[in-house]
This record gives sequence, structure tokens and C-alpha cells, in this order.
Amino acid sequence: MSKTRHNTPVLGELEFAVMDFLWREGQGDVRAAHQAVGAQRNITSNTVQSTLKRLHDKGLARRTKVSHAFVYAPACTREGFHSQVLDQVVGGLMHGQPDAVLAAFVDLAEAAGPEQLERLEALVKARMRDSEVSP
Amino acid sequence: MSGFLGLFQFFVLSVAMLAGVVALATAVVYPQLRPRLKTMGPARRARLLTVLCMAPLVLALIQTGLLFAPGVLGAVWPELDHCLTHGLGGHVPLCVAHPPGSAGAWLGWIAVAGILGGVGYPLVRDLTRTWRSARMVRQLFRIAEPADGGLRVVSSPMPLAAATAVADDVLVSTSLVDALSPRLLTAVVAHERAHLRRRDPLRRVFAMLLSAGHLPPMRRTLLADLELACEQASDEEAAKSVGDRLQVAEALLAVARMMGGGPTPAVSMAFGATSIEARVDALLAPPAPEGRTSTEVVWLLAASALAIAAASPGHHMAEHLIEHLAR
Repeated sequence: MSKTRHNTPVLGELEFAVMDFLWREGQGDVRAAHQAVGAQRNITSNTVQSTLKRLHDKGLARRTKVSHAFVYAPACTREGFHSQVLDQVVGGLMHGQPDAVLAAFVDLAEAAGPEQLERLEALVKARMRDSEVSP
Repeated sequence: MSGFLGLFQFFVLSVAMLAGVVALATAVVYPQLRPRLKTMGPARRARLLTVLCMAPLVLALIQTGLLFAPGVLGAVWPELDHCLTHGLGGHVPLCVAHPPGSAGAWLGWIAVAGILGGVGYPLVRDLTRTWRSARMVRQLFRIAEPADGGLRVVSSPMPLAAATAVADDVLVSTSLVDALSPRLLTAVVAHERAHLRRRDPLRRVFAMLLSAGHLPPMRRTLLADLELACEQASDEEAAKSVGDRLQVAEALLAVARMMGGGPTPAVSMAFGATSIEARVDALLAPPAPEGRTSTEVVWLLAASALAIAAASPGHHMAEHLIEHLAR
């Protein structure tokens, strides 16, 4: 799977569910995936098969042919994928690329200098002391 | 067909011209307006800045739409066909029912290409990036673990707390939860919930996309000032929610300290100070008055009435202008 920040695949709800199955079980074929994921969603095994193929094309699953069917396994760990998603979202913010979609409590790209922080912390502490003295 | 091309050309040129006028006026007026904005409450300041960000493009689209309105209404309801009142001979009609005879001047098409390339392309690029970002952020929220109180926790060494336009929960990182006391974490979460209540992420998306009509330096300044106003407005709401302005200030500094001191801030500088400094200073001072929303409503109604009243005379002026240029 590609490691570049910009190439982290975006998964739909069904793709997530199928990847969850692969991470949980370690591997599985279309029938097993359909039993685990497709049956309760009222979707056909063809749909699950297409989903597995898409995951393979996105680089998130690898497959080996066993007899006449493919057996799929995850190409990365759950933690590795999560890490890539986080890196893509947060990494952009860290490099000063403002993201209008995500509002962070403290702008991740804005690093206030230590002297500035000390000054502000001293002001806040002084104000807290004053409010304790005269409530 | 050529007539509709001519109408399209006029539409684009009209929007560009009107947007340009508003953008230039903003560039001239805003430096004088900025100190006054600083004295306003942040919620009101955010509303005004949102309007200012979108003003060139939105006002130009509305006014151009109104110029076309008599011609469009006449095509939908023939009884309202105003061309019958002045006849079709002798001037170029700005009318969908009776489009002009020509496809517009070639020089006009060069201008249209320049405008669509110069403004349209960045707008489409920003729209595409925003859509991709929204999908990725939605994915981030999906992989985060749900926690009590409508929180989503994601494992990360970054001290992250965020709200987004594509989910109703507040996202926090494990490092933030582990490092902050419950008292300070409450203040952080209250701040992010305020963003969701105020719909700030959605406001920022619209402001970012629709501020494309501004000159780039002005656009950057307006968006940075809007971001600060939104942060300060959420700080105020959080302070009301936890009952202690200093608690929010302390939380802000604790998270900034977790990020480590560093050199020059990269973004979000507004009013000549970093946003952290401006936010803490505002929390240490008494809250600024927010003013009355009714004043803004009155201004909006007056401006709308003026624009509608100007539609018909503006339409005829536009037709005569096109005729003059076509000679």
C-alpha cells in the first residue's frame, strides 16, 4: 500500500465493514465475507465480491487464488491504516495547509514561542490569584 | 443559440465587473474598518466577516441575476414580457425569450476565458480539495473510537481536539485526554461543541469557497480574521458553559504548551498577534458587547429593497450599454 500522505484511500461504509472482517479474521473468501458482512445488509455476494476487488485495487487487500476462488487478506494492519488516515488529515494541518472542513482547538501549524507562552501563563496565574483574593 | 451565448458572455462579464468593484471597495475600506471590528463581540464580528468574505461573488451574482430577472420572467410568463413595452427593434435585448442576435464580441470571449480561468479554476480546485478533505475527515471520525459525551477518540501523539462540518461529534486524541486534567478537558470539549452549535466549520467552508472574488491578499486577511473571530466566539461560549473564562484560557495555553514552543507562527495571525495571544487576551478581559442582530436585519432588508428596486432600471441600462458596445 502506498505510503504517501495524499494517496490514503477513502473507504465507503461497506468497504469499511469488509476491511473490519479481514482485520478480525485475518483472511477470508467471498462466501465468508458475505456471511459476515453481506447477509445482515441484504446485499448479494456479487456486491461483496466487487467490494473485495475494489479493496484489492486500492491496495488495502491482497489475494491469492486457492482452487477456483480468491482468498483475501489485509495488506496492512488496522493500526497502520488508521495511522495513515490521521497522518493525511493532521499532516496537512501541521504543514500550514488550513483545512476549512476541520477546526482544531489550537491551530496545529501555529507554534507560539516559549517566551510568549510564559508571558501569557503568568498573566493567567496572576488573574487567578487576584480572583482568589477578592472573589 | 448564438443569442444565448451572447447572454452568457454578458452574464460572466457583469458578474466579474460587479465583483471587481465590490472587491476593490473592500480592499480600500477594510483597513479602516478593521480597528472598529476589533471592538465588537466576536460572534457579531464573525457574522460581518462572513458577509464580507462572500460579498463580491454573492452580491455580483445576485445583482446580475436581478438584471436578468425581467427577461427571465418574460420567458416564463408571457404576460410579463417587458420587451413588448419597448419593442425589439433599436436595441439589444437582455432577454431569454428574445435573446440578442449575436454571440457577443470576440474580445468579450477572451475576457470570459480569462475570468473563468483566473477565478473559476481556483474555485473548482478549492471545491474539489474540500470535497476530498471532507471524505477523509469523515473517514477519520469513522475510525475514531466512540466515547462518552459524544466524543470520538483517536490514537495520536498530537494534542488534537477538533470539530468538523461532516460529523456531530468532537474529535480528541488520546494524548490530549491523557495529558489534560478533567477540568481543562471539559473546557476544550465545551469550545469544540460551541463550534458545532455555531456551525463554524460549515461557515468556514462557504467563506473559503465564496471569497474567491476578493483580491488574494485581502482574501487571506479576511479568512484569517474570520477564523480568529470564530475561535474567540467559541471561547466565549465555552467560558459561559464552564462558568470560568480563566479555565478556558488555561486550557488554551496547556494545549499550546503540549505542542511545544517553536518559531514563527505559520497561519492564523490576525490583528498583529498570534491567535493564541489574541484569544488569551480576550479571555482575560471582560466580554465585548455583541450588539443587536436587529440592526443587521434592518441593513439587510434595506439593501435587498434597493437591489430589487434597481433591477428594472438596471436591466434597461444594461441593454443600452450592450447596444452601445456592440456598435
